[in-house]
Amino acid sequence: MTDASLPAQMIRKEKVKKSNRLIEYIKLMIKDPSAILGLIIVVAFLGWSLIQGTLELFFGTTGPAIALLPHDPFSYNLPMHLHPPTLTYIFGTNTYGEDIWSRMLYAMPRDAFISILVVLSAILIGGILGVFAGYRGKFTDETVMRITDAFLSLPALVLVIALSVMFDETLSGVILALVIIWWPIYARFFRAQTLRIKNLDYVQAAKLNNVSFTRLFFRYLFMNSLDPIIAYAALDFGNVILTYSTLAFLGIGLEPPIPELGSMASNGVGTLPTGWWYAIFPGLAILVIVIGFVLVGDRMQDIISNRINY
Amino acid sequence: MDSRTIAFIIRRAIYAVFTLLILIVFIFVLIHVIAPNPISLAKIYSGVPHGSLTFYAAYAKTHGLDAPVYVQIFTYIINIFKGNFGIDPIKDQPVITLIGKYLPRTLEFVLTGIVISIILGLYTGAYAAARRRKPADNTVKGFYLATWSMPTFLLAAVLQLVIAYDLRLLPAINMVDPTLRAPPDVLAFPILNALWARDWPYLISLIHHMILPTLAIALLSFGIITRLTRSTMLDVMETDYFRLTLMKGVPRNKAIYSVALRNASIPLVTYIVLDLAFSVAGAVVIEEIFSYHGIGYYIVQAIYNLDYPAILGTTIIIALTIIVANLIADILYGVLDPRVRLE
Amino acid sequence: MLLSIKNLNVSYNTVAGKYKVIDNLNLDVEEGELVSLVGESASGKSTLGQVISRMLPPVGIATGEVTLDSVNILKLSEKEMTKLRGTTVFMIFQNPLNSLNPVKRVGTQLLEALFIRNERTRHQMTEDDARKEVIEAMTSLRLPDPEKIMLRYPHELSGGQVQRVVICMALLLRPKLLIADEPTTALDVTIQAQVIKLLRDLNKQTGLSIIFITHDIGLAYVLSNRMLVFYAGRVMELGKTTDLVKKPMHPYTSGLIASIPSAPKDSGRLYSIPGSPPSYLDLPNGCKFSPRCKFVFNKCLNEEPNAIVTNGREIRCWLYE
Repeated sequence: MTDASLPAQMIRKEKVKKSNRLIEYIKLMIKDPSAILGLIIVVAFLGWSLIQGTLELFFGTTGPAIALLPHDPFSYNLPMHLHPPTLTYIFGTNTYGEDIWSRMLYAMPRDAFISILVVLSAILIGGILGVFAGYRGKFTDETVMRITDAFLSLPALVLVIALSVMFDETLSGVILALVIIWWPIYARFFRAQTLRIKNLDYVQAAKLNNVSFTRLFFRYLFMNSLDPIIAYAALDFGNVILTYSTLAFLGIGLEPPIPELGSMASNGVGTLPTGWWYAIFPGLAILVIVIGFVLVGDRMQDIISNRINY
Repeated sequence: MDSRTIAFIIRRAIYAVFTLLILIVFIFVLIHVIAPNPISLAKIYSGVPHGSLTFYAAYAKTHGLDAPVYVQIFTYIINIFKGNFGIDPIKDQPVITLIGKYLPRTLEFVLTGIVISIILGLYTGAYAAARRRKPADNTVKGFYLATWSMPTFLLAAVLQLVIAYDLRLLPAINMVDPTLRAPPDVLAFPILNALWARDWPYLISLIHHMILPTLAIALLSFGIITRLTRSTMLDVMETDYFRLTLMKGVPRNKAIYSVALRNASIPLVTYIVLDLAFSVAGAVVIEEIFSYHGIGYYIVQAIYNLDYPAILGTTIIIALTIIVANLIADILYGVLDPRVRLE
Repeated sequence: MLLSIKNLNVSYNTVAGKYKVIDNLNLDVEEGELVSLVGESASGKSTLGQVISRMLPPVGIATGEVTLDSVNILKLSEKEMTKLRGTTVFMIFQNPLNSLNPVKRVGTQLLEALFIRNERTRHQMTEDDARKEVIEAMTSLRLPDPEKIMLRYPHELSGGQVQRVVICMALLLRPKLLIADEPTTALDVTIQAQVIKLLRDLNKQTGLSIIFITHDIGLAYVLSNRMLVFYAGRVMELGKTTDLVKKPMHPYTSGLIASIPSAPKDSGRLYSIPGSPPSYLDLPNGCKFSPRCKFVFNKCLNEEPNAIVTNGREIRCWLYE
């Protein structure tokens, strides 16, 4: 053991000592200014999505569902169309005179919902297949790995497009297509983790103690593989949002008149020379949200791989 | 090249064929899940969305869509290996001919863009890694974070707005000046065709129109390459052999750019294929914005027209391209790294 | 005097807090001397090597005075320090398998070392002469088939061969001070003995000063003239190797010696010092060794002893004050 790794070693010792790992984790997280920025963006985005999303779920497009927004996102105001940003319309209006900022706020819960749903499903499916492949080895392993190879060697977007079109371009079709594309990378991660963990003493001990297979599978292998995977997942929420917004740009998976960040930007591209704000602000919103997730994910990865000493 | 390396390449090639087979079977299964009977299958393959029942029944019969599933999957695979992807119902030409026309146009600017981003990204990543946590590093980090997190369509649209519309430096749309006559198609790639025919005005117009899409691709993959280079560089800079190089008295800069960058570039070879896949996907959006008639444009048109043969055909061809690129990368890896991992 | 360290303090500034890895260290090394540094893992002994070669990780801060070849190296810029590395001070790392550049041939890496020395001494040498000198150096280290090995890549050599190649690098660079940081830990026992012998011969024949860092007090005994026992970043005992081993004064030193496995005629039970080294973030008050010490008394728990000199050796223990 050289002393270069010494600080990391010390920190790990500390981590074990403290019983509450989560608090320790957050403490390390907020020691980095860029991670704080990321955390603020992510918490604001998810928090807003939770509140607004609940309202949208129960009230649709009217009444309380739009009460928190500065303007009604669905009211045409043709005299005010394509109005540049002012104090009332901070991000300007679109070609129908609708308030862009209100529409963006209305659209956010959908992106949050889709990214969470896709990433969680991918973790679950990839986790079960990956742990299984790693645990069983041999033929099972080879089969699962070849399948993931096939998926991973493809441009995700192209396959998602093909799948979504086959699923009739509905929103649920798009989500299904995204999940189909998203799980293989997690299967890889879980397999690698399982290969590492399965021969460790505590797993062997659990086997000797006749722990049931389901319990061994989920409590010992799946849960203990999660740590590094969560860091990647944090970053991955941003990837889903980017891919989904690109699909929306291509007109796939939309449910008009419900606004969506990607499709707003897409509609605005046509009017860029006369009204740049129409496309730019929704696009920037995607940018900021994705950066937020990347910053948080990067920091988590640093903490897990013990690279924080620099 | 010794026998172990050759065995390694053969094994990789077999894997590649397997990968492609799995993908084809997957798509076949998917089509049959969505269209479980001959009539609905005929609806997909014929490309006629609102035909009569008798038309579909006849189509199914002539194209063997009522045969048992195992016969169908066999014919399907054989057709693909023969390059038979069906007829594009909109353009009334074989899909493979159309792909042969559109794919080279895309590869032309995507590959150029990737080469530019690799050269820039390797250098910038190494530069940032050498100045870890210093202002220069943070600037680079901020820049690649922005280009990486930006939706592709926004990036392309902003480039188009500023450079083409506001500054009027370059053409905003199209692949070439539409008033020019195209030289004969000899070498598949428009640029090579123009060179072959010595059609200089056409060549210049091509290059002129290519700059913005290329720039968009370069910016798009610049972030990925820089980020990966930076982190691999940091890993290499913590190894004993890097420290021993410094210990020998080799100046830090020389050690960074010769020893560390050389070693860090090995794992990057595999990532560059990932980047190629990513860039081809990006090309779909970029071509849409710049009305650049390549494979991405073809895909988008196919989406709008629900042209299933075209969508499936392009997906498989792009997959094939990436799989071949992967194979090349694997072999290159073996050449670059004397430790060739033979598993 | 080749190396003189005065009031050296090293701390690491990490997110988990700031902690001291080396506390107020003083050490002189004469030319041609062979000094060993003994301590458990994470006792800060490798850090000392990194300070002398100025290779601390960026979070490490060193204060005090480290005079090497009459220059205070802590005050040098990175550029000036580069000129001292290699030809004035050279360090061998613990893990031989990782210490050669995997993508360059062994010969290229050895020639590079020789060129660096020639450049510094402004010595002109033809390509052929250089090759000859490298082969000579390799032969003197009993590396079989030097011409062939020069064309190989590091992964084609065994661990022992790689470590000898690194030592060969030292031969070619002719540094004044060689720091060997656990150079034998990763090797098996027979090769270990060869490497140790090599280092001793090198010291005798060329008058090279060596600082030998190890956790194995037995190896240190075989090899060195003087010995430094390190614990929690502090020198616990410092003196002539033979004196120290035959008559250890500090309880930690005697503990280390008692835990050397000896001939089976003993009862067969192996002694080990109870407890484990403390975390730097949570050092005990008073003497840092007190929680594990057999002779601990009240004073040890409250006040840290200073280093004192008795019987020609330096010791940090309340038993002797």
